[in-house]
Amino acid sequence: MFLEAALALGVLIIFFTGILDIGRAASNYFLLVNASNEAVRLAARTPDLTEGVYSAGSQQQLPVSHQEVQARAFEVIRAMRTDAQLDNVEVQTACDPAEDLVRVEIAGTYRSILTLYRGIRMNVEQTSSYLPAAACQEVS
Amino acid sequence: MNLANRARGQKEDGAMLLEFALVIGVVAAFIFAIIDVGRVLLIQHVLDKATENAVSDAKVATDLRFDVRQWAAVTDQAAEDRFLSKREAILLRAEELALTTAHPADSDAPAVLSSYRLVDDPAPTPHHVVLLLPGQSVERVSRKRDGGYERTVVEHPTCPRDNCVEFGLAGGLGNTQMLRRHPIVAEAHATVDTLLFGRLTTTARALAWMEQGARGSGDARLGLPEPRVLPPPPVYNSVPTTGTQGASRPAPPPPPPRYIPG
Repeated sequence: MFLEAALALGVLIIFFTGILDIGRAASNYFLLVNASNEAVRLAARTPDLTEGVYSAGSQQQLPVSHQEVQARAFEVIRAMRTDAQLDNVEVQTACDPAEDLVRVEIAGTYRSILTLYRGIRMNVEQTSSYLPAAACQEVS
Repeated sequence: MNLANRARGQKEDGAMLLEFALVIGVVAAFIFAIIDVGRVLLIQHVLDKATENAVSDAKVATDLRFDVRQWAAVTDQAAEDRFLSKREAILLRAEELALTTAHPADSDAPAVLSSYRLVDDPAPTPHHVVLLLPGQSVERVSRKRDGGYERTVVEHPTCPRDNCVEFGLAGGLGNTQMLRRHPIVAEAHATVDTLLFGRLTTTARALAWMEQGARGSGDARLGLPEPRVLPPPPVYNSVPTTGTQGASRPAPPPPPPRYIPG
């Protein structure tokens, strides 16, 4: 009977930890959604975004307008949750003159409790139409 | 049935009763836990909604662009009055929703909202929802787990009162730049008495950045650029319509002017 109880308890603990883990992962995912939402709102209202796709931390030179948008995304993550379980957060911003769209993409790796699925990569992308009467600035 | 079998049957009945008691205990705890979590989530949702309402009102209110650094030496009393009345209106509207679910006066309310009082504020009216501008801090009074009350100082997350580089710069960033760089934060906090876990706390926080060219008045007086107004688009009503009277269709009223950030 003790063996059965031990087996069942082990399974139950894994089950409940899994539920907790999924809840935490969802919470971190919505943090990324909030951050990308706020960043894309700023991008859509910024009139001089340079055209092209820019990633924070890449080798290419980052225009100031894109820097501001990416900083906004990081700031939301920092201000909303001081204990976010996210690693390697990357932000990519884009201004597409052909479609008249701005895009923000944020990716981060969730630090899970269970080692079964450690390192879930979460990816959020938000697109918005660009501010009326504004256009992506050509790369000089 | 002989005596031995009867005795065995009685033993099995007892075991079944014991198992039932164990299982019913676990099931009851499980159900109470679900109820408790549901109650906390309800309160969390209400507080989330209240704080989101507060920041979504605040980010378009130009009257909130008053520089709180002026409180030491007020130079524009009218701007300060507008700021205070606007903030009061926003907080009352946000609180209304939260108070319908959790009321601090009821002893059997599902949750008790904590109250906030801004530090160094000329109008220190306590509220259950607070708006934190860059460089402000607030004192939160909440119930403790073992009864009594505790006071906690809550700082602005990105520009704390005593440790914000831009805030401390004399003649540095203007208030508009401060509000573009740092968010307006709304916070609400409540304690919930649960059946299994005792007294739990829940905090909701929402943030938003001040919109450029927001609706409102007093931008020029506060040293802000007035929003540019675009001319209305042309109205195409030159094609005559052949109605019963042969008269042309009356021109529609001109659309309202569009505002874009200055």
